[in-house]
Amino acid sequence: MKSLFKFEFKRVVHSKVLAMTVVLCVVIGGLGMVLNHVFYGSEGVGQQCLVSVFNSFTQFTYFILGFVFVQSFTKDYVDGITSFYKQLGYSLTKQNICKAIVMIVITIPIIDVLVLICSILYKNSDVEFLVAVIIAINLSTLYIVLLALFISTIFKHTVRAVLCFYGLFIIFNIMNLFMYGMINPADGNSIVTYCVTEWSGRHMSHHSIDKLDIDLLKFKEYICVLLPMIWCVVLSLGDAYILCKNDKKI
Amino acid sequence: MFCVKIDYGYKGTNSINYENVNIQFEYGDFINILGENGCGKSTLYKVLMGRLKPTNGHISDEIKNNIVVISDYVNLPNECTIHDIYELLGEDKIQYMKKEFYSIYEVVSELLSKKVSMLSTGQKRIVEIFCALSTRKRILVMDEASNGLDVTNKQLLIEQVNKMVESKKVVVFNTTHLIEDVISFGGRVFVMNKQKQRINEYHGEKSIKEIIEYMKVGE
Repeated sequence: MKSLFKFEFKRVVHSKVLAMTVVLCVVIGGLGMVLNHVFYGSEGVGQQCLVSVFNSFTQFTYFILGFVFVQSFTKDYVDGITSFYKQLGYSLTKQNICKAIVMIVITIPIIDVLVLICSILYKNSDVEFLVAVIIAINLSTLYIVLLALFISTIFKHTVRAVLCFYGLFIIFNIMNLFMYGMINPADGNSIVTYCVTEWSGRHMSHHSIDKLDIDLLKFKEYICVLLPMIWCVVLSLGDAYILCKNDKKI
Repeated sequence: MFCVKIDYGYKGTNSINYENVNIQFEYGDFINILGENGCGKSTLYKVLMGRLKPTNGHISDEIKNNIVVISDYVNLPNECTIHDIYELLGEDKIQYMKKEFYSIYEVVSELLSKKVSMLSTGQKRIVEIFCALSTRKRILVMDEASNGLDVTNKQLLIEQVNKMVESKKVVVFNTTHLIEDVISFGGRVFVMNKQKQRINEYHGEKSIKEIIEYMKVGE
């Protein structure tokens, strides 16, 4: 398993996926900063500006890096590399766990560093808020990787998997609107985004959350961490099931 | 000595059904399976590997658990180097290959610093065989593995495979629809005839004309 992890890491480096990930993360972070400037100009305290970066790293990571994740997972099926590994004695489960870990290991530190840089640039002094934002972004990235793995294992074909991945984003976005933002944590309509925005002092209108008669800010730390965590656990179980099932087939 | 006595096939748009398939082989055999496209060559391997059940008879575990495939649908990752593959395999497997298949080890060792994408198709096939045999499985299935190779690369593959076979440590099954390849590799020839639902061993002269004639007649 250790040698497979090392091998997968080298593949990511050699195939320039690592370089591409760094560039895309910078683009996503930059996009957040630009959008903040477009919508709010130079107004707003550090926390509020950081919310734009948070939104960018959750939603755009799904769209932009999500494609990289899905493509990386499905490419091995399409190119017959899955069978190569399998012949060497590495099960589909081991292969994909290693790949997912590599993706998480390369993406999360880059995003964290960028969020920290943004926090310094925006002169944010609320450490608790910063930590909550970083944890929520990390969990949302983990959620995206796990979802990409799930869909890729089902479809094993890049175009179909990417279409399904994007299709789900739209479906989840609508579901979030009506289901109190509980479905997809990597979405602008999610309850996590709602809490982070309200925490920063900005108000966010939400079709269903606004109808709730609960002061969500009392539970903001739990909402920011627990909901994405629950989804990550659910997806991990789903991934484990689908991989084991496919392991028997292939 | 391995013995396969089965019926196999499947129903569908391109259904096949072979009866009384009888193939006996031992280490040191090179077995060519010759047949037109869609006649069920790959299906035969699926049956040998245990992925598809024969309609009659059974495949022993000794065969099922001892097969590795070299084919267009089993590929090395293009972005890594041969050195990376060495590390993935681990020292044990490398030493095993050095001891048991020195000739192929020698060829692969010279490619260490090269990326898979920089290798010729023939060299890739050699590395694939190296990886496959490092698993200590000794029934090597080359499913149309020589297709698309130029003369030089084909020669390299033939040379290495023949050395392995001569050492009597492996059995090689070679699937192809190119009679020239069968003649180049040498070894035993089995001809698949989909219409007559038979797989027969060809014992005649190894010339294109004679083999084509045999394929037409079917026995």
